[in-house]
Amino acid sequence: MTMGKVLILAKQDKHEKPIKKKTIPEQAIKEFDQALLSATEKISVLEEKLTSTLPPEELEIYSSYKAMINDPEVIEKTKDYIKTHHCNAAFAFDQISTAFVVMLEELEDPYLRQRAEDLKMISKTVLEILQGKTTNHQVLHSPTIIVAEKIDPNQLAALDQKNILGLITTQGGITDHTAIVAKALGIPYILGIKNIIQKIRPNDFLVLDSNRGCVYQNPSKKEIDHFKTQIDLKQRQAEQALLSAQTKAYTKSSKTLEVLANVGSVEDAQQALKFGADGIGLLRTELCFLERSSFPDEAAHFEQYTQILNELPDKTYTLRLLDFGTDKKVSYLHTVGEENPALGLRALRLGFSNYDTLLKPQIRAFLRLSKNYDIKILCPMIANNQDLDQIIEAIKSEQQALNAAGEKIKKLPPIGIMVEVPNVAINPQKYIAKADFFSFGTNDLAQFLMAADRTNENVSNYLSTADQTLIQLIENFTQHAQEQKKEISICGELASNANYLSTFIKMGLHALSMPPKLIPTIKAKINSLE
Amino acid sequence: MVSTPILIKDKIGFHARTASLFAKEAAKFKSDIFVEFKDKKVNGKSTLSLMTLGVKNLDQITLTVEGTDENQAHLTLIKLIESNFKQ
Repeated sequence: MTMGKVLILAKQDKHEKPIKKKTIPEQAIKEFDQALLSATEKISVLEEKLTSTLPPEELEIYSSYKAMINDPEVIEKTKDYIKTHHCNAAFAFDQISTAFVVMLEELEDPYLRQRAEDLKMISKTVLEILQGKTTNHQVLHSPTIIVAEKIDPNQLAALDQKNILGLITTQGGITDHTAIVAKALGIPYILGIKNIIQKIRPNDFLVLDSNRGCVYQNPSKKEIDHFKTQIDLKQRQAEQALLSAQTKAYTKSSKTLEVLANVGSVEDAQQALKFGADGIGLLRTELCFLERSSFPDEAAHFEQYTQILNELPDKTYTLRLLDFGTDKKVSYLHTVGEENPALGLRALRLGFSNYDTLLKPQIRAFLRLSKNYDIKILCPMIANNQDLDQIIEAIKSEQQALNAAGEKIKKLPPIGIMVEVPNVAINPQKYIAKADFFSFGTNDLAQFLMAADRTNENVSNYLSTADQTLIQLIENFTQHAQEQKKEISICGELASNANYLSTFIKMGLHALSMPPKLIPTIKAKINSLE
Repeated sequence: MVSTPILIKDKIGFHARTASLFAKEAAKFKSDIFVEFKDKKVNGKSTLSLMTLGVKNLDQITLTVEGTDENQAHLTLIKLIESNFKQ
């Protein structure tokens, strides 16, 4: 929640349509080359500004922006146009880039159509430079809530972030890049409130509640005081929560469970430490190797995990074997273009079909790590007993091979199942004895239970209706597991749903694993429970 | 001049990432490089042009290379496509 004076940003899409002017072609071409250089530089500056706040995969977009500015075909066609029409660079460039925008917009593929928006933004940057309007960004003199028709990520990044209290737009949704940048910068935002720009007057005083998606216009003094108290309280609570998250959380009747972090990089592990994780509950190892161009070898695995674990010393760490093959694509893995990759050759299925290059080096690295770190090995996508036998056998035989080479790995680390396939979730008795621990991957389990692809927005509403079934399955599992004292935890989205916390504690779950940022709130909630 | 038809096996086709990988590789050669798809022939060194083709998974394109280093360029680009854009 945030409050402050409004600043209405003029609709910036309406840059002046360039007018055709007669010029000397050589001069226009020189100007054009210069403008491309300046535009590239401008993108680099923005990229630099966001380097520490945006995750690497989001930063990649800036390389593609630079490639668009320097596209040889656009450059050549623009120059040809200048030469044949003896016209100014701005007009020529606008003609050519607009033609490309139209072509992209005509494509069937929605992803490529979205690139038309990127190109429009890039063209605008170049045109502004050519028209000498580079200084037209709004300067924010004091902290303000920005209201705009639409704001692109570059405009947002170019503003003085210290003075942006909040952001409201009439266009755009939560999945676009502006939302990602706003979130990374920690700016409260509500995107896509239709007609708000017509209702707001300059210098209005607004209260923006991004959690509820509400905007209050010119509230009374009394209301302002009320919101102020809420904001102060939230801030104090957040500070307090962060502080008390540094120790283990207990309910008032001394019940507890571990609150662990889901991590996929060194940065995540740093966050986990900051937000008070009791350990790593899910290391998504596949995320560590997305950028590579070749299979990671044993040394690469070993080094990467050592770096991550060292960020969070003296804890327990649950390392999941690679789960490639669904939404995350890497260049070194040949994928066959399956119809239903989530149900296809993924995770250990893929691992065993590429055993020497994919699974073996990872298992060996895990085993060597287990000598110095308290690790557990989590096996993804176990669908039946054969799957489990196969992976346990593989780990044992790698242990023997390593020991034969003099490694002295005396004790096998605990081996657990990621419970995400319904066949396992409904049959705890068949697996309890064999595996050492169980972690519910509720995201995949929900999509399989509801027959609703979690990457398909058209059916995503089904997933949230799976909660009660998931809880029943987990409860049934814990009842079976308690006889044999096996640990059960949750590492999917359900884990961070505070509404179910007391249920989870009552069930006797061992741990909940979640994104680091959510840990303080969950720990605070545990501390407040009876 | 060397010209061959080739199948795009990448799941999404020529989207931003694959198109830019292809264009980047193509730009390393002196030869003129063209990609033809559905009666449209574009400059293979241009990411934007490649994207405007709308090439999807399992579409067949024709790659044409002409110039002093055409054999090397042709070989490199075919390899890139066949390896599913591994770098």
